[in-house]
Amino acid sequence: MDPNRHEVSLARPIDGNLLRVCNLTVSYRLGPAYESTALKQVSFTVNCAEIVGLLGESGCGKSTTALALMQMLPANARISMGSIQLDGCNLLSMKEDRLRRLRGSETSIVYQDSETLNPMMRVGNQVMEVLRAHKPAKTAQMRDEIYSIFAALGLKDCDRIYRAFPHQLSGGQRRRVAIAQALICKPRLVIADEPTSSLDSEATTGILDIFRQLRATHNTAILLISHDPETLRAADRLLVMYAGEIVESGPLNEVFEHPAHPYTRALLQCSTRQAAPPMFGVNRHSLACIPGEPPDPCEVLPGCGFSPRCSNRAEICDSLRPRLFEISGVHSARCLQYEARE
Amino acid sequence: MRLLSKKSLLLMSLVAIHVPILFSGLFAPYDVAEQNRDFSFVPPSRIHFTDAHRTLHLRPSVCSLENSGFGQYHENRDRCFPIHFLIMGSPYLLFGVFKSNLHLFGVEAPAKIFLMGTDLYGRDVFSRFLYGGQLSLLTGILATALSLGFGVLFGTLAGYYGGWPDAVIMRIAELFLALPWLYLLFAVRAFLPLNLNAAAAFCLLVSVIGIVGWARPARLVRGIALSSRERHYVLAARLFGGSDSYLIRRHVLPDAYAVIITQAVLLIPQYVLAEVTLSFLGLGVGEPTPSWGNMLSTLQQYQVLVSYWWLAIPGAVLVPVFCSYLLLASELQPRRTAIDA
Ligand code: SF4
Repeated sequence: MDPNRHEVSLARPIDGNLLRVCNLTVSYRLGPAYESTALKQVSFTVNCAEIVGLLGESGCGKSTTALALMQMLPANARISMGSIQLDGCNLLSMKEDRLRRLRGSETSIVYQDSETLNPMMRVGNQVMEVLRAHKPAKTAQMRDEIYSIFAALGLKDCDRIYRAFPHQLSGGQRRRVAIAQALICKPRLVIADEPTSSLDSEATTGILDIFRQLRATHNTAILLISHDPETLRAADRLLVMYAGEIVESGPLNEVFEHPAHPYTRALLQCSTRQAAPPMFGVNRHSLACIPGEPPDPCEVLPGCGFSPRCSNRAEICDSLRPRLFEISGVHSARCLQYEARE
Repeated sequence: MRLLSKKSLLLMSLVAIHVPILFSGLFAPYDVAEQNRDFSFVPPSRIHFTDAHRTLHLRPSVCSLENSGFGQYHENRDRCFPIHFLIMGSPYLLFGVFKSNLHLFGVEAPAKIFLMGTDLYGRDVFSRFLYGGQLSLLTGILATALSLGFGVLFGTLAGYYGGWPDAVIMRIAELFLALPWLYLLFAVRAFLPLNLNAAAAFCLLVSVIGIVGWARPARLVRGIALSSRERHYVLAARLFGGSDSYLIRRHVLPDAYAVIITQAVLLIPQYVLAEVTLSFLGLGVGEPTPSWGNMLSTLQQYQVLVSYWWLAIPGAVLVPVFCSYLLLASELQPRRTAIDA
């Protein structure tokens, strides 16, 4: 069976695609002749001024996707197939030097943990150095720019924060500084990998508002990566990832209201069941209610990857790999249930 | 609260030792090569505050010496000469550049002041001690700079890049660590012509001592680079487009600063000792240029060792110098933990 045959539905050339990922397959070498596939033929696009949410459990390949988009995969990772096009340029064939100029200025990442700031440098200088690397100007001018982005990110008392060391700031402030680092060069694509993990709900709301604003004012495209459906409410479109595959994709409202894939359904169900504040509650344990474990990435199931945990499982699911079926023009799911309908 | 911390006390004592050596032309009353054949092996001069009539004077004085034959000297208490401060004497070059003939202290001829006695040729041991310190300490400092330069360079490259550069560099470092370096120095030095001029011998000494010692700092720095390149902020800086050289300069090397400084403070006395050892064995800079090592080498003669104790003073002075350095190193050591937390 030709593995490329049916994987193109999402990568249709649409004008205005800023990022187009096509059949991206990434594997990690864990030993001699021992590989685990982290991403299997992942295809998606992100348009200008669009917020795309990427939902999935930890270990499903979300962070690998983020690192692959930055071309910063660890040394033991290998991209065996596919392409990543940013604005029509293939990142995979780009020279390291050019990639470096792209990182931080065109594409930028807000990383999931709060230790992305050097504890021995003043945070203002750390933001300044991103700016200096890509858009050098007079120091005073750059400082003004940093003050204004601090203000825009809701960091009051810019002067103090500019001169503070990371340990003198709260978690939310540090995260905002990290976001300032990512946004200071006004990139066109921002990848936010769990940007709100370990923050309280107020800070979470604030940071999601920042992303919405950014999209509105600068036409920035944002790939919002999270394990928590509530965080992704800020998105326009949702991609659901399971075991290195995109299992469902569609507009946010449609996916939330009519989830097509059994995995999405289970995920949303336990999230709403546990969410005490309905919006932006941090449901770190919400995934425990899907029975079973995610599959071992090293072993390849012959059928649907979700079948051991699926409540709608049919006999055929163990032998046939489902492809992405279009449910409506924009909504598709990787589940054999829909094959019968076609 | 204590008035002075231990660290600043140690620093001050190091400065007190180094300043006279640095300005040895000013502090030394005589030229290093100035010989007084009539005054060979004179013991340290006595400084008197009274004259022959037992009257007290505020200005100290020395009495003129008379050679009574067979290496015996006696003071002529009737001929006392006051010690003058900041007087003009024999010309010298300060730092090898500035001409001057100002000396911190001295006495008028025909009296002589020998604070540490004289050697076989009647040369003032104190003056030679100061000038010799210049050579010995400079050897230590330059060789340390060389060692640390190579060590930090290769250690960072190995730790930061990992993979085969790491393997190659570290295997070579292990080779260097396993070498008995003192014998290696002998071998290298013995291989080269014995009568080198002072400048060539000095350069050779510095480069051999410095290059042989690069492995230890390289290993330490590699360990730090290895752990700091894995830190999240290094990854983050790279994700924002930081180049390798930027990451090394701004994030990796600052982590190693404390270790580099401690290593420097540890290596300087070690390398001064290496110079002293080599010169003592006649493999360093040769006569008439003084160095602590070749000043001590006269002590190889048993007769000198038992009769003229003042010639051992340069060796005795090494003890406080080394102690200050080593104590300073141990003071500097735990500093990093506070920042790390
Ligand atoms: S293909 Fe079968 S097992 Fe897989 S999600 Fe659909 S129903 Fe469940």
